[in-house]
Amino acid sequence: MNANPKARANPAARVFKGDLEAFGKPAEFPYVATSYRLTEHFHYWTKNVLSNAIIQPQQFVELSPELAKDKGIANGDMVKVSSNRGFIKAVAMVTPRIPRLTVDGRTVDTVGLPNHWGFVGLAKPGYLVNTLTPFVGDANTQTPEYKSFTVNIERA
Amino acid sequence: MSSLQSLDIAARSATTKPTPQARQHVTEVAKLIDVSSCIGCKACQVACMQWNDLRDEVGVNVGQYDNPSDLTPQSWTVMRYAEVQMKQPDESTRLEWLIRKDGCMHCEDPGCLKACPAPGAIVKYTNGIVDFISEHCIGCGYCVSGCPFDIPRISRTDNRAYKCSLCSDRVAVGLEPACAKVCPTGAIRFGSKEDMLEFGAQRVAELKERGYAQPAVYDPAGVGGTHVVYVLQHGDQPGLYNDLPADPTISPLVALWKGITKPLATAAMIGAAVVGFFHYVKVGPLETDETDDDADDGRPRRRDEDRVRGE
Repeated sequence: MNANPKARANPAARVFKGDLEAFGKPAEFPYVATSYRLTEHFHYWTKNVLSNAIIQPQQFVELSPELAKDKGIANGDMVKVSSNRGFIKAVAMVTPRIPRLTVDGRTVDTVGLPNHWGFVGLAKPGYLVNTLTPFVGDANTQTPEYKSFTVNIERA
Repeated sequence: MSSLQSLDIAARSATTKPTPQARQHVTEVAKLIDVSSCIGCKACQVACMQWNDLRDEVGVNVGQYDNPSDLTPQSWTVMRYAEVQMKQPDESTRLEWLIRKDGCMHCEDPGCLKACPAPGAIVKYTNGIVDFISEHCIGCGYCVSGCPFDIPRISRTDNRAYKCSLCSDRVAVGLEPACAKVCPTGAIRFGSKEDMLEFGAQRVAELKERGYAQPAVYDPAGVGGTHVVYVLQHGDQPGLYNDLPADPTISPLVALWKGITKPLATAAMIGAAVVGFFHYVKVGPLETDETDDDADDGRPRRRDEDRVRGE
């Protein structure tokens, strides 16, 4: 039986010991990252399909104009996004759709990571976004929690 | 594309001979693109590639969602994404992502067809579709300068112009264009122009209810109306949608060249022939005799020159 029926979500996360040690520290990885999908692709399948490769050919990451200015990144530049677990390189897409947020009085910048590219396929070769993501499972379902973690971004 | 048996041709480029007009009951068609319900998924681009069997290059990302980044002979339609900060009534701004499906507008008064010097390379069917008949195309590029929307693209492979055919081959057999068929949100619709304008007016009313000040149907009168019409949330500012022209017109050079210069030049040509004929009748052919040759004008005689060259 649910001991707390009013709770809508489990606030806990399950992290194994070795994975906890692989977490980055904000000093080194100050930006929030989130991975997501695009309408043009389906997971890692459609990078092998010519039509889909044509309409979204090359890996990119999205960031706000404010963060881009702070880091000296121009739209279309190659950038390196790194976490404590690895790094990827992709084209920077500077867009106000990923706004700089103020959360609890602190400035929070987000780096958006569409995840459809890899080292094989008809699309331009790219990096696996899940190189960056932490191994965190939802406490109830063990669903990987790849929507919020921390990274650093710099011009490649 | 080739000419389609069940579609009568209303106008044919560089042709004065009347075209067959067997069918009297043809209704004008239109494709309606409701920009306000487009999610930018590019399913229409893929459908266009699949049906028309086109495969463009796998390009690169240049810092935008637009891919391929422009229309090409292999990409007859592309989505154009504009991020616009719209001022709200309370002076704040709101980010809007305006996504317009770009491609041929199928003008009622097509500038490409007017400008085209190749007989039958561009036709307008009685249902309003403007089609390029590639086998007659000479690749001169006049259609590009005649188009107020910058749509036709010349292929470097075969030097012919290409653009959206509004799937004339599908429409000819009673199907809707491929893009309209696949659109998952119903943002692309196809039917009679009358029905599309009626639906467009309904959407405009709904958008007004949702708080848009001046939504409108884009059916520009400068080109006699179009057979591809947009519903724009900001109908008063079509320029927001990646420079959709507010009042498109055919370049005056086309009218100057085809409207005035061409008949004048033809008249001058015929005039020269007529005058030449009467001159011949009245004066006769140009004759020379020995005395002309001997006339001393201080310059070497032509015959001498010829002889020197001949030796």
